[in-house]
Amino acid sequence: MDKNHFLENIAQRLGRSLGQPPHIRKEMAGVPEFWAERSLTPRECLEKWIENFTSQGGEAKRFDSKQDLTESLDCLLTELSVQSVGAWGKTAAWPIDIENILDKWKALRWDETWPEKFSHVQVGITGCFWAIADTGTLVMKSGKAEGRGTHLMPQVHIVILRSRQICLRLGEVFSALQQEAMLPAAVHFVSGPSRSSDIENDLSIGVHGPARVIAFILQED
Amino acid sequence: MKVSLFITCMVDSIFPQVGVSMTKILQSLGCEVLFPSSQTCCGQPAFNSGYSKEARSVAISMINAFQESDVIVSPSGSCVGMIRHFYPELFSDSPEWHEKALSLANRTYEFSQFLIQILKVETLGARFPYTVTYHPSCHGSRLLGIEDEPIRLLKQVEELQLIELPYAQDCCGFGGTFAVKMSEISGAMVEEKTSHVLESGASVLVGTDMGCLMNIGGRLSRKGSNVRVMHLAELLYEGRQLAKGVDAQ
Amino acid sequence: MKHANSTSHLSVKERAKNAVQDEFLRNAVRFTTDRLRNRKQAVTESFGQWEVWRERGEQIRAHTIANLDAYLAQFIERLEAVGVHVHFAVDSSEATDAVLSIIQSKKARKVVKSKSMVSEEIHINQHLEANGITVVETDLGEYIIQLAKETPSHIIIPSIHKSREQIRDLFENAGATQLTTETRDLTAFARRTLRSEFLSAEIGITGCNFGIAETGSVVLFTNEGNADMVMNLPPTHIVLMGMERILPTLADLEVMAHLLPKSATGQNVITYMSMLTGPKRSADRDGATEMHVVILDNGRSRQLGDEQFQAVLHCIRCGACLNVCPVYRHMGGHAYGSVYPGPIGAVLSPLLEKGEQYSDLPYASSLCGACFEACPVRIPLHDMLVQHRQKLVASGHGNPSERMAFKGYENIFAKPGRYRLSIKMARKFLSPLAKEGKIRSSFGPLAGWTKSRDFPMLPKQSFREIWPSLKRE
Ligand code: SF4
Repeated sequence: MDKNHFLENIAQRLGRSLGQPPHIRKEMAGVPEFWAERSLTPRECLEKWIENFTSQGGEAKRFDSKQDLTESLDCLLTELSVQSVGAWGKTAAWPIDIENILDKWKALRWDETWPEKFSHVQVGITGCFWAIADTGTLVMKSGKAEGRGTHLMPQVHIVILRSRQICLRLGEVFSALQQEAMLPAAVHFVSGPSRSSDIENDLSIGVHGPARVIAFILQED
Repeated sequence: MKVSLFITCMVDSIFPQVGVSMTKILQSLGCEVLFPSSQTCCGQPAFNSGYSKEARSVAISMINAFQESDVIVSPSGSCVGMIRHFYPELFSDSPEWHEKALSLANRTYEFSQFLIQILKVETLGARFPYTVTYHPSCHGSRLLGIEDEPIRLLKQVEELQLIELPYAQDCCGFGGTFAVKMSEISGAMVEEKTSHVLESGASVLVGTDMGCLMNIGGRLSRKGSNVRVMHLAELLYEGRQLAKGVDAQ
Repeated sequence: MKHANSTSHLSVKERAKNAVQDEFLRNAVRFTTDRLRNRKQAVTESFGQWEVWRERGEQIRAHTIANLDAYLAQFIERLEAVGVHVHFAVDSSEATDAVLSIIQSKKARKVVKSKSMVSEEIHINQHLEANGITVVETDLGEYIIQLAKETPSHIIIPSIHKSREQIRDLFENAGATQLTTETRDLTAFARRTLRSEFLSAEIGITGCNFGIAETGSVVLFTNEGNADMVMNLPPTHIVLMGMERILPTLADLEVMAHLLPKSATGQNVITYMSMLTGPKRSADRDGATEMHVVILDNGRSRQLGDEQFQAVLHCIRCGACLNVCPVYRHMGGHAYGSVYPGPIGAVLSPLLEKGEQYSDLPYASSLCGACFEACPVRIPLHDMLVQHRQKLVASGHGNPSERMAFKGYENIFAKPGRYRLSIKMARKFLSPLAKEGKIRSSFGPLAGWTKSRDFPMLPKQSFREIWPSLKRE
């Protein structure tokens, strides 16, 4: 069926004419005012984010210095006895420079190899663009060097962020996205490891996406 | 205050003692109680089954019956819900009757809400030394908005031990003609409800709607249980008599 | 939207009767819905001001649907601006044809799918399989019931009725060896198997939770991350959406991102919310290169302008009404016989399908109103169930003996004199049936009642007969 017939039928049944703008909204769009008006200090946002993220099965580690963070990352990769690491490309929007670790572990870089290879990667390391305290969420945008497969395909996803990337609510991320010239093809809001309760209500982790999501947070005041 | 009873067809024909208890309580609180005798039924059986024309005829006779009444009180949250919510809607095409229906709706109260909201009475000087659990009927709570009024009244009864009913909000499976039409499901629902009543361990089940209580009581009786099933008005009246040292029966 | 299960010729009453016998099913449904609704209650309590959120949800949906032509037009314009191909389907056959022709134009053989109620509604799998195309469901629950050749019994947890032993057997038939019934093992098998399907499929089909008019974004919610795989790995992505799945702005999405997961499973947040705005950009190295959106009417537009039923299009398919429904609790999803079960199904199915097929579903309710109370966008489902019954009666399709009964009811109850007389007659009539003040006889219409409970004997005096002695001067 063609577009105009389809839309005209809808308009006509609603007693409207096609091309007529929507009625002025009686209520404001979006969340209730009390929700939008809350404010938290950066420290409180960090605490809230960690609380929510961990309650959803995510793991969070925080550090006061970049050096502590990279050392701990190195230790974790050793502990996991990882054979293969994948990561965003060098030109990606990394919140913190961890190139030395990625070099040491010979990480496959997203923009230098075939995406299919990431299906065999054990640990995917990415940054993120924002995090959301209310829901313990990480926000990743798709881009040339920020492949979606990096955080989606491996068993373990390690994400690097700075505490000032944490905002309070989802709406702040939407506003920031709308400031950009064009929305990216994909924006992913990830709030912990992949989960399912489809087998007798028993929680299972890692059914498609990562079974572990580990956040390395550089705490800044 | 002059108070007219809308006794409901079910209380009139099957459970008159509920009406007697309610009358005596209202009288003892100083109300002049009236009983407009041309009242019948709220029309819900027909309305809920989709027979709105038939429900309308019945509603008209009800509106006429209570034309002169200032305040109307009824022992059923479900029937009051019908009058409050659906009478005005039933007459949406007739401004005259719509007006009358609205007026009736605004003057009609469920018993426990009437005591608490209008008479502002919470303590009735009753004593009832039993364990009691309360089933909030769906129409009373969801349609009419009865919240904690019955609980507040029960909490003031001396020596009454209130026990929470597990899954209290779940429907008992009455639903008027539903109980007959979808009898298998209705039977499964009332079976679950009665098992929760028994699980509570209470010796008395109290409620504010005789439809639900007849359903739950009928199942309890079939199971040979001796849990006593009472309307809130009966419990309060009996409790007052007990407190006075008089046998309510 | 005929249901694939073979019992669709039975009435809902007969199907319910069968379902009530199935102890495993009833326990599973009770267990699952209890868990979901308890979690929902906990999360909404800690979130706070739930009624304010519900009101906002209702306002957003009501405004959107009342202006659907404008928002849908805006959505389509934005979609086209970012290079998405948009298709319009009046009914399910137009929708399946559109999907099939996209697939055939790619000479594709294999499709991976994420969960979508619209795809169930149009029976896309059967249609594609009949045309030699392999379809693989990737939501764990959907995968299980696809292997079992069944249909979903719950809109959020489709495999609610399957035990882990049954699941192990299904997986072994699908090639697993030496599988235990441990959740971990079962999940690992599904992960391995489905991962290779994702990588080899040429087409990904998803539904659409929300389409954002101001940006042309398609938004998907999953906990497993399978929709992300489906839209990301195969080169062509087809989105199937009901035409009412629109939200005007991203700000509105923020409200729904709270209402939907909290209502559906009692989660504070969905694990994966993904927002797609067009196919992959030229520099991107993953994501579908081609994106199609098929917009489906299939009876929805008939509800527009209908004062009573337009609000059914506000539904966000969260399943909360199923989880609190006592009828669903005791008969499960399949007994509804339609793709959409529970209270929403009992309202929606007879609307989407013309004719009589689902005309008995609105009677599968005690009108307790729990569905309305649970609905995050405040759809008055219990009123709609009554309105369905009114429509049926008004169109002359009611049950003839019931029609007579209510005629009789009117004759008696609208006339106070006759009413008084009939109480006396009922007493006369019932008294021979009573024993020790109880009636257990299964005579006439009493049978449905007395099968599981006693009926009280009518008292010697009605209230109105007692009244003169109560009256005070
Ligand atoms: S009707 Fe309401 S509660 Fe039921 S699925 Fe739709 S949105 Fe959820």
